Amino acid sequence: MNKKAHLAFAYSVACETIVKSVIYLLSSLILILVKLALQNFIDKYWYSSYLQRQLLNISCLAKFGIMGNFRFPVKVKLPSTYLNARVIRDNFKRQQVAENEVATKALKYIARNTTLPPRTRLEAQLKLSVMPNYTRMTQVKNRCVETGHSRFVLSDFRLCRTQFREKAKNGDLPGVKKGVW
Amino acid sequence: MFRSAFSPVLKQSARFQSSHAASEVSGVSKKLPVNVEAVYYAPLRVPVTHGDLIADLQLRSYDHENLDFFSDFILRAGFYLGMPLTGPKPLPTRRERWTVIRSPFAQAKSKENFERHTHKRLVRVWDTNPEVVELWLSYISKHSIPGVGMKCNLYKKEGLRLSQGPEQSTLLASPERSKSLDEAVGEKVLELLNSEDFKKHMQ
Repeated sequence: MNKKAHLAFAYSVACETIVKSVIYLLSSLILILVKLALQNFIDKYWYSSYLQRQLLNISCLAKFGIMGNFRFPVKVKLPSTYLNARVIRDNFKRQQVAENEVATKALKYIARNTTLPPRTRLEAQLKLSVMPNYTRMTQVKNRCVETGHSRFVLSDFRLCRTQFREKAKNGDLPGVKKGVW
Repeated sequence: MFRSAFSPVLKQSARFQSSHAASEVSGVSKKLPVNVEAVYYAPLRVPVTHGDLIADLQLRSYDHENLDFFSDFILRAGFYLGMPLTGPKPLPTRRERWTVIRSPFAQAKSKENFERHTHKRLVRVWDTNPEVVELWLSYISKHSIPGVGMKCNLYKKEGLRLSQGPEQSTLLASPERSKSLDEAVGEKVLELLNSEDFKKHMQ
């Protein structure tokens, strides 16, 4: 009698746990599917690395994702570093410079080629000077990957001096030791 | 790994080196296999006979311990394959130094120095079949140590005549290879010069 009751109890408990786990699994699956769908949707306009860092900052989305307030109606990839307006601006310039590199070089070639007629060269020079500032390499400035700071950036590590010092002391930069000589 | 496992044995063998050629492991008088015992001695070198340079292998590391151990391993592996190797020749160490201000703000008089030494070793391969070199390289890269980088230059001798010369690389000939920047710029220049804006000046 006792044994039977025990068995029945164990059976009911097992059933309950199975049902619970199935429900849990289903719900987690649905959650994952929804997440994936969302991610897919967002990835079209957004960089996933940025998502990982800052999980949908909506004010930012209004600012850069949809490009409502931004001057350029161009979709820009965001860097996977620390982000602030200056970092994004610099990154935007880099992308534009890369995009226009061939055109700029071609125009410079024409403008500097002394065998071409002077009018052609002048035309090329005019076209060059009309090109916007953000297509020029001189506008690009290295920025710290961790803080976005623009001064004293060590190009070997893409870090500013304070970050470099901290990381070197923590041993995060392979081979960098306290200098003694 | 290898070194750390054998270090107590190494010490013992050094103690017994004058009396016994065979090293004794913790009191048990059992002879080690010959190839294991050979690890305690300098490697038996294969002499260079023809002096044909086949390849050179440069090793780099921020730390010379792993580097020396691994270059020794590389040499031994090569000698077992019957390759005449020379080295490891120490190449000039690259010292990079940075001086940064200690404080995040002001107090710029107080600075801190950091440095990074890149140690380099050169191993050269002579008079060897290229297939053996490939085998050796794959073996080495399979057993490579963390923190040691390798760079290998392979040399190949060709006849003087172009007809016998190097076969056209498939990379160079394939149609889908990416354009170089110069080529792209050249195309763009032609395109620009043929455009309306520039044509009117050309007449």
